[in-house]
Amino acid sequence: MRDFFLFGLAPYVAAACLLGALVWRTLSPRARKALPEVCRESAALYRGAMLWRWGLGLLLLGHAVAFLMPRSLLLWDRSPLRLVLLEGAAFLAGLAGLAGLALLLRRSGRLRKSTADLLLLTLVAVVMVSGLAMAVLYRWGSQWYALSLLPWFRSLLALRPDVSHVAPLPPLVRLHVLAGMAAAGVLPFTRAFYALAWPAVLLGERIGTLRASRSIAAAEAMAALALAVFSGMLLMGALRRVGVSQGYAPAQPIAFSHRLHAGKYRVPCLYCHFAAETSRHAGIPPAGICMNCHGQLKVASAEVQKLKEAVAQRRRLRWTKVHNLPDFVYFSHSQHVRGGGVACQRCHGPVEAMERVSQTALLTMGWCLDCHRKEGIMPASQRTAKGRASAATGGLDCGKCHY
Amino acid sequence: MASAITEIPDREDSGQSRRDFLKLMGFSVGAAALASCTPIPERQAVPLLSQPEGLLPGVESWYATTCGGCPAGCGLLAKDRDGRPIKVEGNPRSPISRGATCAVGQATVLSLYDDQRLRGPRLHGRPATWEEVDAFVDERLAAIAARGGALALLTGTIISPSSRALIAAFLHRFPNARHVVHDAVSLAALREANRRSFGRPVLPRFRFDRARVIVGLEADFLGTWLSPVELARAWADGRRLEKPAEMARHYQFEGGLSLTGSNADRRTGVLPSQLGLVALALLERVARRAGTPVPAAADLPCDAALLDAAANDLWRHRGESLVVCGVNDPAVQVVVNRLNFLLGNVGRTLDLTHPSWQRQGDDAAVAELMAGMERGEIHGLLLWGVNPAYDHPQAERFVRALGNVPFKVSFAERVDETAMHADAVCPDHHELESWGDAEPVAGALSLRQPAIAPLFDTRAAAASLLRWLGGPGDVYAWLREHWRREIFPRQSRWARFDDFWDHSLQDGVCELPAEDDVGEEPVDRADLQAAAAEILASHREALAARRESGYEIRFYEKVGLRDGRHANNPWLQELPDPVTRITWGNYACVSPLLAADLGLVEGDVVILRSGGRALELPVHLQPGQPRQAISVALGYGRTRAGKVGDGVGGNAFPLMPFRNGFVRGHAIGVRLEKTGRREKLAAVQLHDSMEGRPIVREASLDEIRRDPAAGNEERPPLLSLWEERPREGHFWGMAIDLNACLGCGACVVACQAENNVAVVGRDEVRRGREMHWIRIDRYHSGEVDEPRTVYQPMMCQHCGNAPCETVCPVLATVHSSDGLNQQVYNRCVGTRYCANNCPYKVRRFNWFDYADNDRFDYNMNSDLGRMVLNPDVVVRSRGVMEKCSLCVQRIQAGKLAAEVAGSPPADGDIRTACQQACPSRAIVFGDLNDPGSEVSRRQGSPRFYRLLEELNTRPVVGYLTRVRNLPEEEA
Repeated sequence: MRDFFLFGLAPYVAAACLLGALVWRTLSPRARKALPEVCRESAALYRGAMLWRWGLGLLLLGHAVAFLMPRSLLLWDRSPLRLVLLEGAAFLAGLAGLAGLALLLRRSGRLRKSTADLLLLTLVAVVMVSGLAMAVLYRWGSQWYALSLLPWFRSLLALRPDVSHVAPLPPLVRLHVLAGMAAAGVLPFTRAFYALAWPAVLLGERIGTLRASRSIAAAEAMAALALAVFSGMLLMGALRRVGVSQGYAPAQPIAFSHRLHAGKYRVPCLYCHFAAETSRHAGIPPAGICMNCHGQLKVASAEVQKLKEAVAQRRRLRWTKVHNLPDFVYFSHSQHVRGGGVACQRCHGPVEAMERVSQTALLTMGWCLDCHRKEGIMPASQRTAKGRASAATGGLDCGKCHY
Repeated sequence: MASAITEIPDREDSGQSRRDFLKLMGFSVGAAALASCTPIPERQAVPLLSQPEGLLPGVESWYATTCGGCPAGCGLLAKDRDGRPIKVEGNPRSPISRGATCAVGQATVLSLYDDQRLRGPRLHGRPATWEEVDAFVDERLAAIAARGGALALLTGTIISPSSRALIAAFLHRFPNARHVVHDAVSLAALREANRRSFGRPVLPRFRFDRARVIVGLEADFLGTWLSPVELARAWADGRRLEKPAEMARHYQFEGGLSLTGSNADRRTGVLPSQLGLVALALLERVARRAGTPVPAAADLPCDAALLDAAANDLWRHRGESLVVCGVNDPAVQVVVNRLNFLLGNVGRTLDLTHPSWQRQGDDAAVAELMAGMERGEIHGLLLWGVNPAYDHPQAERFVRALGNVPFKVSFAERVDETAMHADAVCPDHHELESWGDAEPVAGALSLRQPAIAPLFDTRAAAASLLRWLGGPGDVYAWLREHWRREIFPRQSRWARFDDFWDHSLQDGVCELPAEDDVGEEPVDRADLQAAAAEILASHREALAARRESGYEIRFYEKVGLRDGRHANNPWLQELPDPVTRITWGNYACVSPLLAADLGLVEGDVVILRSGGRALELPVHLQPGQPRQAISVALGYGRTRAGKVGDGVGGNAFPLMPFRNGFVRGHAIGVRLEKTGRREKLAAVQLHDSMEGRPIVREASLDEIRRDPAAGNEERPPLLSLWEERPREGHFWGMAIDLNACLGCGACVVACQAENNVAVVGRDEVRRGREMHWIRIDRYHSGEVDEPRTVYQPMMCQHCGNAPCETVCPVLATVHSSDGLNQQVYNRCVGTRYCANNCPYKVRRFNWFDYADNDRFDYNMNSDLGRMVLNPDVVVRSRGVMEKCSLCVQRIQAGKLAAEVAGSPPADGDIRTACQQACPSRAIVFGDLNDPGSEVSRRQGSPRFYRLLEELNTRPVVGYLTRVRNLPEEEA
């Protein structure tokens, strides 16, 4: 319930604040009259040092780019080196922004006096510090943005908030998100709002002077073209995702938490999914495996009771499969886990952080091949004995998977 | 220029404009796109509540068991996936199967999932509970016992020692009971002849592997006779050319072209009624050399020179020759026994001290039982594993006689022709569901264990008998106790019974040491004069009958359907007969010479009349058929087999004559009438000739001795447009020894089971749309009455320069780095260009969805039937091409096993399904990059060639020349 308030309702409150203020402050005639002056003044106030402008700007730009192209982000992250590069750059930008923020506060007494602005800057500081901590502590920071936060954003935009995406994330990430949201909610009550509006006001003035000129028509045509290209790309992106069920996180008959078992208590994946090493199927553990522990532990829990009832009544549990491959592809867990030495998380994502398991990977053939092109499939001259064997079973031949 | 364009005025009356059309189209495309964007359907995963150790979903387990397809008793390994058997393979430890199977054995796993099996017991034609049935049977048995009534137990051949002990116990409990054994195709005369000759009423164990010269009279021992897998392997082992230039020579005299005859070095057609004369003529020649007087033969039924050559060869290889006869007439068998005796084969190639129990039917006893039933002397009849109302020559009489029996119980698994007349039907388990044992040959025991819990509410027949004897009906306990009491003391390897039992069960087989006391060397004491007189008498009779009305019928079994007990098995119905290449039904094989005289063409429906019975069948023109003999297959024309087998072909059993206590394998005095109708046979090969091309390359043994590459000289110059591909890692290949291949079809069914190959039915086969990935081409050459026949297994040749790959517009067929030509179903759009461009014609197109389609009502349209499917292989959908993958799923599994073990796969670790099943070890698969592998060795042989080499397709599959060990004067 708390999660729902924090991540299901609060975002709308913040958005309502932002929009309401925007409308009220720009449309009221009194405010409009003074607007250009206030804006100019606020912009000067928030201009601050170069560190501040560039640090914050880069971070916001990075988030925006990743928001528009999550798939590219995932592709980028697939190589550890590039992942470190990206997160390192973000970390440096964050450090710069934080330093800039400190400088800004030290130099500007007016900002220190305004409660709203102080609150906003504090929130921004929290966002930055938590972001820095994430970059240092978690390997999966940018992955989470693409795989968990964006689906949540999308669900918010679709007015069907689904908090299951963010709920399983570590507290630090949740703090980062909440502080960011709060900052957005506070924004309209601060001078920063005017500072941000300044470019728009400036542009409006310029347009006013240029209205008569012919160049406006050219600009409009350019904008229309850009819009068409952009929407075309969106459509292509959407079509390429037909049949891809990334983010699929169906409800299960028992609300089993991988975050608790695999994350908090560090139960190894193969303890329950013991078939993954020997069989084509990783297998869903038989209830007997659960009862190994739950014969004694947490027996009173409602979810464990469901399990015990099923065992007592000899009723099979019907789980909903999360990861589904088409029938025409042969996938063997054994081949990958035992033969290739691939870690479970490579395909299943940070299951240890998931309350309810969702499909993080694309599970498309291109996604499979991204890996197959790289590993075990090296040129013969570079193969170790191990790589050689993997190449023999894996590789790029169609008939290695389709039969 | 704009002025040049004539404007077409808008037609306002059309109602719909181009714009409307575009709008509609846009809408539909959009709607379709949106519809396809819906989330994927929810799939469920249901784990076991508690998982038994050793059962891992997705991992197969193997259970050693014994085949129940026929009484040959081959040891099997049943492959279980997710708790259900999906394939059977021969148990390499079994001395009978030696790791191979026949087509029937491969298909038994499908019979397990037969829709038409009974779901539970029936009483008076209605479903009942076991308690009701037991109460009824107990009451009737008690009543019969009380008034001393006669009981009869009519069974098929029972090779299970524990079941025989159980029957003995049953007979002990009901002293007025008798046990009668009925075989649809019996070898009773052979047992009777051995009684007359050697005083031992048994079947000998034939040791073809020790024979250098083999003379076969009618016996189709490579296809259907006695124990085909065992005999085919031994026969092939005697013909391997591995140590250069040594192979056995095989003569065959027969009344129609059989699988065995077509594989013989020298085969000749003889009227079925004259086979006795052949035996006599051979005996006369051998006896002359041995210096013993014998009765003189009458007129010769065939070429004297051939008989002389055969007799010469036999005599030269005394003690390592063998004469085998399949005529169910003791007089002929007595003559053959004398032949073997004079040649010193008894005790060497003919083992009477370790007899075979694989056929125990007694035609005379069945006839006597029938007479007793007619007289009302039989008060209770238990039918176990028999269907005489279908397969007895006097089935109508049997059914009438059944009416006189007040109490009839059948153990049939379905309400078949006999069980429909029974008061109670107590369905037996399928053999893959039951406990049991077998002793097909004395001293060679094997155990049967269930590979799956019974699917239905059935009960083992032995359990029913045990229950009616007053026990708890525990077959396992009975079996184990029998082995503890009877078998365990006969062995010396294990000191504790539990060890002995566990190991025997795990191995599946147990060979008992030879008994020291073999008794005195058997001496032939038969009355040869009487036998010769009998043969001559029946010859004269046949001669008279021929003068009157003309024809003789030779009854034979087909390798797929045999005696018809598996008629409801679609794999076997669709298995092409190796000789005629016809599926789904039987036909009258007539000589093309006779057909020309009578004006018959292929498919003309004729009526055969014999002994007051008539049979309507289409005609098939069969080279090698003696002019006045017509061959008709048994096992067809079932009426209560089930949806697949009912009404396929005609039942020939009623035409079989019953003479002097034996069911004869041929009828004389047969009339043939034309009906004027024509029916298209479901044949998979319509052209018999290679048209002079070296498709199957042949040489005689003498030529091979002079030049190992004889017959294989043709080496066309090869020019290639393509670059040589690198051959790194593994490079798979196959070599098929045409000298070992018999054409038996075990590989075809094995492939079908392994690769989920669909059954398409008779109509689709008639359209040439059968789906088998491996076919066995058969070519005739030479004279039409004495054809030379060759077989060639044909599957995708996995060409290095594959013609199919260059024409596929969507790259659905491409080459792999390890030498395979791959077919990617999910990419295929069904242009069929590849099939068109394939010079070997091995590609198969899915014209329909064969799975889950009630138009193809075989096994893939029900949950039960689909249980046999191999989960490692895709079930192909409509509109895609498919073909042999060289069992890529097995290759992948083998490589994974090697990867886990940390060493490369050893030669022979990865075997294709066809190779695994092959009784004669004709097919070898392996890594061509491994110079020590068997396949590399074979491909390096001077006999090795690639088919249609001149096209430079560079296949990795190739063949070894066929070698004939021709008699001297013909070589």
